[in-house]
Amino acid sequence: VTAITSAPLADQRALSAGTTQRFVLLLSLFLVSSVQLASMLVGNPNAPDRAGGCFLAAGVNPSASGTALLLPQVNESSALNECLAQYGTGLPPWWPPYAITAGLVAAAGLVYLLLAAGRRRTVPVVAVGQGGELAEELTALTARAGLARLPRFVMDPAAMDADAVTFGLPGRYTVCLHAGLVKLFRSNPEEFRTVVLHELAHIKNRDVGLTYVTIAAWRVYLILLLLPTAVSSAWGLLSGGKAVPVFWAVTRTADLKSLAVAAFVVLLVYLARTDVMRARETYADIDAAIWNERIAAPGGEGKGTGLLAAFWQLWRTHPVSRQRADASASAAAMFRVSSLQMFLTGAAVEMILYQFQDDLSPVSSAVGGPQYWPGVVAAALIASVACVGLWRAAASAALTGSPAPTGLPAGLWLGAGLMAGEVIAGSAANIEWLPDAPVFLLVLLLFATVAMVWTAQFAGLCVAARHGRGSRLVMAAGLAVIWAVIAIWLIWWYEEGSLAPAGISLISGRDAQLLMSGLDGPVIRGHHDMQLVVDALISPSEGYWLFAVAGALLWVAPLLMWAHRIRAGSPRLRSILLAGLGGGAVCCSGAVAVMAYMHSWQVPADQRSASYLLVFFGCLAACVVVGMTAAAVVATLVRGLRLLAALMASGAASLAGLAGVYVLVSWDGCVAPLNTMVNSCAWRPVSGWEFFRTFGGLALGFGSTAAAVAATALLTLTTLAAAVHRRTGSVSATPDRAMPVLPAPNVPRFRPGRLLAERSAIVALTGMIVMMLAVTFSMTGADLGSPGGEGSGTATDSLTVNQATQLYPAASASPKETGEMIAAWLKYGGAHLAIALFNANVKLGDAMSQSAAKVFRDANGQYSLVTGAQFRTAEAPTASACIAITQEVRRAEAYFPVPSTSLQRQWQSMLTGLMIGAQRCVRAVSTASLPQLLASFDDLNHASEAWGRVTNQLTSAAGRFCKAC
Amino acid sequence: MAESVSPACWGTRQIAVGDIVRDVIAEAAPAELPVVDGLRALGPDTVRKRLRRRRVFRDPVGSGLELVVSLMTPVAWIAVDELVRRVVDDAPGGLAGRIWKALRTFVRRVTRRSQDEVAAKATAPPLSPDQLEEVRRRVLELAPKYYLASADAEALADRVVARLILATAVPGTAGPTVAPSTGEAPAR
Repeated sequence: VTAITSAPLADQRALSAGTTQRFVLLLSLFLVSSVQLASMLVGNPNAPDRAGGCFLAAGVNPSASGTALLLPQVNESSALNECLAQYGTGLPPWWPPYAITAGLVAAAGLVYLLLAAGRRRTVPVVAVGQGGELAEELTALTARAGLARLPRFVMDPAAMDADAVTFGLPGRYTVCLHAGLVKLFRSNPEEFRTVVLHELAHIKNRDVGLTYVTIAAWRVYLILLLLPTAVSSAWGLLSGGKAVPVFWAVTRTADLKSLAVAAFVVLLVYLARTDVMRARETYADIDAAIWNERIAAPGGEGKGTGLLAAFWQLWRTHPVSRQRADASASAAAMFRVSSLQMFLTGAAVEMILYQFQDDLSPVSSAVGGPQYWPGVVAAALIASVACVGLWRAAASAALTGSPAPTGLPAGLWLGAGLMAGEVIAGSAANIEWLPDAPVFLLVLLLFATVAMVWTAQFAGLCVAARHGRGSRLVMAAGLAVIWAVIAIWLIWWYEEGSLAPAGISLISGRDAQLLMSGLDGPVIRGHHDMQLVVDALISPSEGYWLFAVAGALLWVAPLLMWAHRIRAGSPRLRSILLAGLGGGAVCCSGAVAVMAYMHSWQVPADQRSASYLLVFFGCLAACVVVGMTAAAVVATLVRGLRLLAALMASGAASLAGLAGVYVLVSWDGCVAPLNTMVNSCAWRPVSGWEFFRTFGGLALGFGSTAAAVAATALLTLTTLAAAVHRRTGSVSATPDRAMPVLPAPNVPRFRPGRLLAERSAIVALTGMIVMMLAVTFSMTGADLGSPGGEGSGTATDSLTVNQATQLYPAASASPKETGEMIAAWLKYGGAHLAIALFNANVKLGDAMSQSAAKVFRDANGQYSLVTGAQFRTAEAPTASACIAITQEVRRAEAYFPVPSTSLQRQWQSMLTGLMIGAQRCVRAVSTASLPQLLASFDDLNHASEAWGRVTNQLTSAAGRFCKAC
Repeated sequence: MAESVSPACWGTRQIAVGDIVRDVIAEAAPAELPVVDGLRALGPDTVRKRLRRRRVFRDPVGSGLELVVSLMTPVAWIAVDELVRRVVDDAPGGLAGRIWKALRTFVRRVTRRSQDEVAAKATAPPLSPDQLEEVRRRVLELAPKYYLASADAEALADRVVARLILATAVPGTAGPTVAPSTGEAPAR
């Protein structure tokens, strides 16, 4: 250990440490996992013995996947619930898991109090030999730590290590010195002071309470919940699997998946716990080093290098000695953002959210409110944990001149966490292990990477622009921006995007055809595909406007920072704006080409209605998107703050491009080869405005997202290439290290004229985009809350889950599976219904024979038919029997359809025949019409024959599987 | 000084582990005297229970700094304590002896009297060479666990044996009647 200067440790408290947020995240995980495990413990309503049969009877094919698996459950939910209520263990009340969780919280509180009270017999330090000197030293150290109140110092003489622990309730802390440490007071005072100051730092940082809460919560969770649940689940899996294999097959994946989800959450809880505790230990080390004016040499002795050591470190509550030495020696080491922290944040956010939608559904339904709140909460968690950490790292690097974090690894790990959470708990995979289309999960990776790279670059820019002044305020503002942006992205994800990995494509020909049914105008021959694409793209119109707002936030925020004068190392605003103008030029050129192309197949004036117009506007919007992306790609090639430069360039390109398109559309008809909608020259600003109103959101939203993704992808590739290059020894510097550094080594010469021009440009650009968004938002804002609002004027309903499921019928089952399902269908209600129908028919026969004697009257030795009221009276039992048949038919119709298409057709046909016959029978009695009554009997006879056929087929199809029932 | 150490005890104990260990540590490692005093304040039963734990679990709320420090006190304490217990428990063999021992343990538990109190009432018999050799062997055996170098362990073993001989050769000289050659004397 070497005593060196404490300068690098300066002001690590200038920004929020973020450990409290991580602690909140940990507690949230504890609660969520507790509710989840408690739900498993108190009983699964869909236990694999009997309730499984209801699912099978409903047509849930055990080997189906994705949406097909959900379909019968969605379509037959009422019949399913009825079946579960009758045959299953029944839906348990919602409150036991919450009651158990509340009990655990109380138990954890009790354990906390016990832990805080101190566990061992101790001796006051003043009561032992040399106690006076020891007490004096401890008082001096307390004063050095700046503690207002002297803690109680005791000694545990039977603890032979050179350590110390702090316990007690807030305000009444006790520091317990172990015997080995007391010896160090004489033999090695320096080490003695290090340990004592470390403990005093815990008191100063208010760690003690949080640490004991964490320990108490973990012990209670482990012993009272995790172990019983593990035993119960293992027992349930083993016994359930052996009891009724056919039903076990239905729910095995779901049960195993729910176990895997629980295990994953437990893992997250453990890792989050150790992460929080390690972070607090590191901060205590730093404080102790500062107070002791004694800093370890970086890379101190001890294990701590290598992949295995890093992995081992994940499970420890204390950092290894090497990491402690690094943290004490360099501020950069403690500001470094850990991959684990990012991964944990991403995964935990997903788990918490989906838990809210699942086990915490009573809470979420009670809270109610808008459907976008999960995205907002998730974004808040990400911003407060991941972004705060990264901001601190970037700000520290900017202040100290050390290499700036790129945000790339952080973003990739955060994205990996989000993806893992989505696969494990999200709706993408439902009860399967992997989603049908996992590639769409990469959207989350892209979102996370863009957000983290932006945060890292924007933090560096803010610190450089503001010279470190008002750091907390600037960080709060920056975090608010990125929070809003992530929230918008995640709202879209939870509402629509997450359907894509589940195998439900939002943009496909079939969806577009569905949407087309709501469009005006004829389909244009020869351009059908293009029309479909445009139609499909404009469907989620409100999402685009939100994306446009997110995109604008991402480039307006750094643009405003550019108004500050000192930006050594950052790209010039002029270069960025030039790139933007270039993008605008690309957009305008494209628009001209589109008009020329449209002119080449211009339809007659009376057919230039919605469809033709849609294709025209859609192509123009594509030009804007291309222009924005091109500007972003070009700006990414500049040095320093490349993502911010790219986003600003794309923003400028969007304004220039939209202005150009507006002019071109408004002057449509003035240049003959470009005539599209009209052929006469006039200034028609309404046309340009119409384009902006209907396609502006799509262009801006799509464009800003495409620009951000393209720039980030390019940045990632160049960074990776540079890393590989560097590894081979050719290059020594990172490509994106040109972050502004304070103090700036090369402060540009102050030019008032240039500054004025730059600030004017910033104000103009910001004003334009804000005005544009505000105006259009006010027009479409009313529709934002309701999916399906006509945000773009011509859009139809956006695709909801239910609509999507209707588009995707269930996968066909094998004969064996069909047999199992039919057997279950019979067992769980089908057979009973069939028998009830048979009995109703038998009763009708009895009624008929009884009433037959009454409808004929003996008049002078001749039998004659009674009529009118007498007929109705005589046939009353028949009518009652027919009514009973209709009731039985309705009951049968409310039950699940037969899980076989052909048998269902026959079954339904039989039911329809019975219903028609029975209704005719009732009508015939009420109108006293014997012919009609006889005709109804014919109908009923035919239906009865059909009944015999279909029941025979059903029992033969169920065949041997009935034994398994 | 240590408030939990009653001065009255000193006069009654004839072989008190704490006294012997304190004398030894006062000479061998004066820096550890607060540790000895702390152990004496805890009481012999508690100390025995705590020191008997074979594995030391790292406290999750500790600093985790993993500093290594060598200690003579626990080595001396355990070795002497084990010897004392052997001497005290040296009951007659056979069934009657075992019953007598069990009864004695039961009474001690009921009356909550520690083994050391029982021991203190008895006059220590002179220790045999085997017993002394056993103590020495035990010290050397325990030394590595508490990070003692072999030379230090040898020296400690010699001091412990010497102090035990001194304590048992002249009955009634243990504890306060033997002034420690170095270190701080216990308060009365």
